Amino acid sequence: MRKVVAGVALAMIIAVAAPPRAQAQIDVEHITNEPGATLLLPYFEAQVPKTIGGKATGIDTLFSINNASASSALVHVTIWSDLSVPVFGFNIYLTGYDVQPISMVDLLNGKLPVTADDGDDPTDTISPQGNFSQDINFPGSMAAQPAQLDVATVNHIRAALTGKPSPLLSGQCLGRDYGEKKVIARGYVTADSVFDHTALGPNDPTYFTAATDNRNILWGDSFFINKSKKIGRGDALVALRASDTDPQVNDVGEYSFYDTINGSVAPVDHRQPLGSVYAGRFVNDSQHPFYPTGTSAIVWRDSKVAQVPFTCGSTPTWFPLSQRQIVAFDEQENPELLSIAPFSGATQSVKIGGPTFPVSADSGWLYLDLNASAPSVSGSPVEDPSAQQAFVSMVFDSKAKYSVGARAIVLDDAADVNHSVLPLP
Amino acid sequence: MRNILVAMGVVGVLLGSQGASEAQLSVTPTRLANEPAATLLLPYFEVELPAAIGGKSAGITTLFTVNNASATAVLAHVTLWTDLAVPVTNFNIYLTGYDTQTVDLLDVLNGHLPQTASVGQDPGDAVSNQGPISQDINFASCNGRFPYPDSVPVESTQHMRAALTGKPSALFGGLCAGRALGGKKPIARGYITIDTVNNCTVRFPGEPGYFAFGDATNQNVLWGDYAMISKKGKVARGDALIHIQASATDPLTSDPGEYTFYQRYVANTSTDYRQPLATNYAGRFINDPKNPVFPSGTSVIVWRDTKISQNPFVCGTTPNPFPLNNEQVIVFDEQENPEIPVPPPIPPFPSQELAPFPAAAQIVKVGGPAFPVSTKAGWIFFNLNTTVAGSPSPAVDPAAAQAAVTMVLESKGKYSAAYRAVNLDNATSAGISHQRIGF
Repeated sequence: MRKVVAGVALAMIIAVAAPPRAQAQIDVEHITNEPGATLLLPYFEAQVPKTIGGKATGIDTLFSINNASASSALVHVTIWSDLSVPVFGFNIYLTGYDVQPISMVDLLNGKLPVTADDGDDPTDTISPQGNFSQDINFPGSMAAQPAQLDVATVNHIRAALTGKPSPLLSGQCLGRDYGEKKVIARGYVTADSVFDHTALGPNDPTYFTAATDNRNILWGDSFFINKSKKIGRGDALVALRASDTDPQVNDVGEYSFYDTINGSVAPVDHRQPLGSVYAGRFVNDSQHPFYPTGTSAIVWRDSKVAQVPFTCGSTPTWFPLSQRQIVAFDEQENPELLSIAPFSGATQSVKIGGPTFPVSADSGWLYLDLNASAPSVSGSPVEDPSAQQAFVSMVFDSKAKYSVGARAIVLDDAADVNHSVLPLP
Repeated sequence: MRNILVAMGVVGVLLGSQGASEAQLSVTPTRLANEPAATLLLPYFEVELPAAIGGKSAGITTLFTVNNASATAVLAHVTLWTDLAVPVTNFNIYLTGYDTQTVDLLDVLNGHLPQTASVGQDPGDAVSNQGPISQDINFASCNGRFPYPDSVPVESTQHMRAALTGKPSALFGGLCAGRALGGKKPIARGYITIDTVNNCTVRFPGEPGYFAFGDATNQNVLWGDYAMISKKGKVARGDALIHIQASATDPLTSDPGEYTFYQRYVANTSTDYRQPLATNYAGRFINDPKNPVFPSGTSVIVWRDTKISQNPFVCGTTPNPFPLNNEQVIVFDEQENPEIPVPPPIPPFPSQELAPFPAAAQIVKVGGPAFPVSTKAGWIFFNLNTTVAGSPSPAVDPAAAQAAVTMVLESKGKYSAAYRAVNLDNATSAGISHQRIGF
């Protein structure tokens, strides 16, 4: 005896967002699974359909952006290449408590989520309004954002995310070309709470003063699905909280999530930074009873540069990224100091025991101090130019059977880095 | 060039009581983070039991790891609980500095415990190896216990199997400890806690002497992950264990009456000093056999605080506080329409609240008999606060009830993908939310 209550105009009884999000102090040093002002999908892969509008049977990354509050939200989504170049941005309008699933393959086919605020959709034919959900009008309009992108833009997105020359950018490149038979688009996604139908993006100097707000109301999930290989895994999106009063994301010189790319001395994005030192287990043994295919590490890193497109065949000045220390412990706690820099890009999936991450042990755990080994050229963040935020997940596989992911454990935060290293003999 | 650094007894370079970095992170009880902690929670496990003790099973099992983030050696105390929060058994794991220990619960339910030993029981490092920057010390209380025998006595194994499948246990005097959910194949269900301790205790967390600076310590050094794997079904899903930090100095985890993780066992004294979980969550679901990605729909894994210490009970009865209630569970479709019960036109009027999570640990199908849902997709608001008869816990807010929620989306026989539901509050006195959406 239950029914779906039809949307009636009861917006006046809207409940406010849950109390903790209103806290002025957001405990910057702790990344938690709570609604944030920015969501990060740290890495995606999507097999590019051969033709625009075609289907892909290989890997796709699905994610959702959801509104935890009764108040309406406007979200600016930015698709970034794996070398941290913004490729494409668009906006999503969410009524109170709204959800919006997105498929990366759809985006590679030029299909954008169709949403509209009350000004663009006064009769709720596009973005229906639930009876506890606010539906308002934001400055600007969604009208200029098509449901289907033109062919030139789609070709740009596909080229940019696969390391090919972009026809829209005079043949420049934006990411790495892996030269695979099946073309896979790679990169990462950010989604920011904004108050304006902005055409700006995080690399634009005025984006954080003219478009973003600090409402910690966004949450989301993500799924890597490969139907042909019958594997899938999921995780929550990384939620970054913002505060316009917490000194750690407001004071001059502090490290904030977007701080190092927008070049400001004082954080203008007010978003908490991620961790910088992580621990994650690995298996590297083809005879392992559960994970014979081994482990990969998904690593997102702060390039600390507002990266622009570059000449194909060259690489950005910051590339390849190094780090302070990587140690692989075997299960007898013998440490192996690895003089490698396996996480060179802004985002990547790297096989443990593969060519870029050789390791001797069959299993154990990794100590990943992904802070920079030297201060950044830009001097950012001012309080600690060697601090470098990152995000790490470990993925365990049994090929064509299953894939299991778990976030690595945060051992240190980028807001206040302890630059000691493991004292290896 | 790479080089395995062999053990050379370099204890002198140990970093003191903490590792290089973990000491840097502060403890903030209002924030549950993926950071080393004094307690790890595996919120729900399933293990398909082989017909005979010692047998193999290709069905579902649950693996978890317990790891030490510090250079200092630690003892981890593992407690197996039934799905109705009755402690079944416990054992200890010794971890040298930076050690890792993987546990397959199928092994445990076949009577095989993890083999570890501190230096007093293992002076030659034949059981627990010591890395060159790892401390290896003696816990004298472990003499006679470590290393565990290859197999525990049959009656202990039979006890675990019975208790975790809702059958009478001889070691509980023929009483039951969990739910008998039936099914062709016996599945053991429950949850696990892992605490840092200072001795090879055999106490359960509810026993005098365990907390209040007894057995349990406040070393925030443990980390871990877990996976539920069915080789036969070719599906698996995993996550980090839930990391619960301790602080004996933060008022939110030390002032009497505050809500702490083990508050039900410390009589509102907060002397476990562990941060509580959240009480309000949000998670997306799909309930549509025609969904192109997740045609098998969604299940919800929910761990809940029973708020009282639970003992074995007469089989066939349901002990207090079960079934657990909640303040509000609301399903929203993708047009944000809330789905609410429709009362009958004449009395008596049943509760209009969904209460689909009656046990301490469970997995519940969204759209199934226990959680009927009309919509094909959307999200669920979980306000799992509840009062429990006879429980004044926590004193700061007896209606508060911590929980942990994970969403599992599936394509049967192909894949299973899980993620933690999003916390909308926290169960400290600074953050408990009793909000009810709209009504």
